[in-house]
Amino acid sequence: MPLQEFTKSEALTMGVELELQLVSLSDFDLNSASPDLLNLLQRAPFPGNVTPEITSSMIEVCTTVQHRYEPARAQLLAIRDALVKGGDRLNVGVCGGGTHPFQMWSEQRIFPKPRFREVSNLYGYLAKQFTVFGQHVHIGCRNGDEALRLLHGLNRYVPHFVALSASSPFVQSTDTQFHSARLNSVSAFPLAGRAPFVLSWEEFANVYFTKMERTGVVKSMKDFYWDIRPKPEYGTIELRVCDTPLSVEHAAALAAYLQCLCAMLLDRQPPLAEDDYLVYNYNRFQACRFGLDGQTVHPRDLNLISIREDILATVRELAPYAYSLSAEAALERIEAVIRDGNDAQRLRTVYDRSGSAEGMVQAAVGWFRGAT
Amino acid sequence: MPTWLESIPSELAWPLVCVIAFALAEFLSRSIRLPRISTYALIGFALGGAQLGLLPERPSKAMVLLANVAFGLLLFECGYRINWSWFRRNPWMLVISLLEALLTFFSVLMIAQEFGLAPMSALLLASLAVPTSPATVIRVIHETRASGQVVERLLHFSALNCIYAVLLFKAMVGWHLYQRSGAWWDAGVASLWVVFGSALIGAAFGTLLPALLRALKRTPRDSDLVLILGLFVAVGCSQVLDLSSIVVSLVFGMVVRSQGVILAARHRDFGVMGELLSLFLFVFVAATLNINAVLAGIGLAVLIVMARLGSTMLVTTGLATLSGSTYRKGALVGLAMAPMSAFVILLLEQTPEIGPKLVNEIPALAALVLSMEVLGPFLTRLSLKWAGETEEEV
Repeated sequence: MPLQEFTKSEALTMGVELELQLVSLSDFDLNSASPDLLNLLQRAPFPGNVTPEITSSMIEVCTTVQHRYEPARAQLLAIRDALVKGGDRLNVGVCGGGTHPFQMWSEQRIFPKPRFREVSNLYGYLAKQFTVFGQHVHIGCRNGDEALRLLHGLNRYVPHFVALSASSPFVQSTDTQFHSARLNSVSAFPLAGRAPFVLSWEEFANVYFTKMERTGVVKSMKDFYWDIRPKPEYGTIELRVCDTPLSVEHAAALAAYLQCLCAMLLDRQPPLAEDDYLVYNYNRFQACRFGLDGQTVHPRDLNLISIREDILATVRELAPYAYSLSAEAALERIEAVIRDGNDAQRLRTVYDRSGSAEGMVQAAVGWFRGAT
Repeated sequence: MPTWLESIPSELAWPLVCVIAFALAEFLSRSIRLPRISTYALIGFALGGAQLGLLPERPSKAMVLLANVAFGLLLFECGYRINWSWFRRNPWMLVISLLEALLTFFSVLMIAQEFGLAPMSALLLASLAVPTSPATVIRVIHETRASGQVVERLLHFSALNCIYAVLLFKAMVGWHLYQRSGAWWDAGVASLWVVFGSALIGAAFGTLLPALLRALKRTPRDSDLVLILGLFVAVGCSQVLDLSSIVVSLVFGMVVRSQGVILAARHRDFGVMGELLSLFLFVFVAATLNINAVLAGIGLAVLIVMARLGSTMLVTTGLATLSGSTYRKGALVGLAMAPMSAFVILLLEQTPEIGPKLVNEIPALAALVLSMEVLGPFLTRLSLKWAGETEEEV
């Protein structure tokens, strides 16, 4: 089946999807609570959208199409409040974080449904290890060409999003030394990575996708696990590298940061080259491993620069765009993360204090509710 | 007792019974998916003192201590998993729990009186019918690796109704002592002492141990041993002081949690140690029963089982949607709350004023315990499976 037409969207609109953890407030382990929570949430109107996921200890929420930071943030807060209220009645804690810090992948069971079995047979332990939680941000594009130009223009900023959102330092009760261990689980899949360097939608849809489809490896865009991928049915590009942050305010700020970046790229139309990707994987690794302290190589001037400095410089550059998009408060929040550390660092601090992985989940549940 | 059984040295009796129970439970669990603890109970009953007689008729003090420690570990976990703020955030949970216990108590009391039991026996029987045995519930949850809303509610309701049951039962015992001696002061003080003294010991251990763990700088990973040893001492103390190790263990678990000591999920059931002690516990409980008493009380027992199940399910189902769940899950919570056995036997063991023999003296109690010990785990597992909360195909 050929790839569908790229739906026209209003430029720079945004939508936020969050995959959230459902844990028991008794023992902070992942809890198969999504059927009960969804059932309870159906009884009242829900702001935005809520959907089940493959594992019943995960729930996905998303905002409606948003134009500005403040309303997006307000809707995410309303979603958060509805989830917390429902969870409280069921002894279920809802929280962010890219991984659950102490669930054992080896103890995860694949539900005995044929489809899951198939996935499990194909991917082996990867399928079980894939209980990870991410934030996806959609940005509306007027056409497919614009989408691809934005997608490739953003490549050099991907480490920013990894480092700013990183909230998965622990896997199976062990400190991985990474800020985002979640991305390691994602990277292991064969169709993960980056989109091919193609700048025209015509060529992407009719040459690249058609060839890939003919190989039998993919059937739809969903089969690509790229860091950023076009979403023709929504008319958006989707940034998928973020761990789910520990608060919805932070999630809203990340979305607005992306919106401002896209505004700048659309405005300045920087030149794009495939060689920009030579340093892509290295930079991405630095962000995963060291967070804001990572050192990245600038793809053009090849200077080594810390991610922290690079973000601060970018935030300054974005000021006029933030002004026109009313997103100044979002950028202030991004600066606060640079100053105070990312979520992975906050979680490690809790671990040092409480000495337990469960303590981190307890803190994450509190932060999601709005505790500071 | 068959003569060849007599030739087995008594030192070998317990190890042998445990091995047989283990092997048969593994076999039956794989072939007909019978919950392991049901098999333990059947073996314990068959080889018990009053039946084939491989095990002694009256357990030694050491064995009672071991059973109390085994039960204590499970109660500790139950107490540990209670999140009190849930009752504050969803008061319907508390309403359901209280109503369910009251309705069970009065319906069993009525039936017992209909059957012509003496008032005191009827009252004791009714209070013993209130609790859901956390031991069975927790073992089934571990065995099926279940998680979800039914599991959460089951654990919380079972911890609460255990507390009610101890209070009720001790009040009845106090009443009983008063009737016998006329000294209301002594009777009252004795009952209050048991409840509050036990709670005090539990709270003391729950406060001191975490402090000790912090001082020793032990991580949660290796705090198990310290906690098990602590529980051993706490249960020992309660036995020496004639207190309730049930209350001690439950309060111990609750207070440890409130102190911020967090047990790693995989260590919560105390691993192989916990499994071995549970095996022993379920064999031990059934071994105290006498087949004649079981047969004599079977008619009344069936009625009581139905009354208990009916009362509980009526309340958990009727108030399910008000408390944020569905009627279906409410009914399943009620069904899963069926087990009661281990709790009853150990509560009686801990009540020397009345005597552990009571189980074979009050009609129906022995039959009730045996049926629930074998059937209870099965019902709980069925309910968790129907709720879609188990991770295995049952």
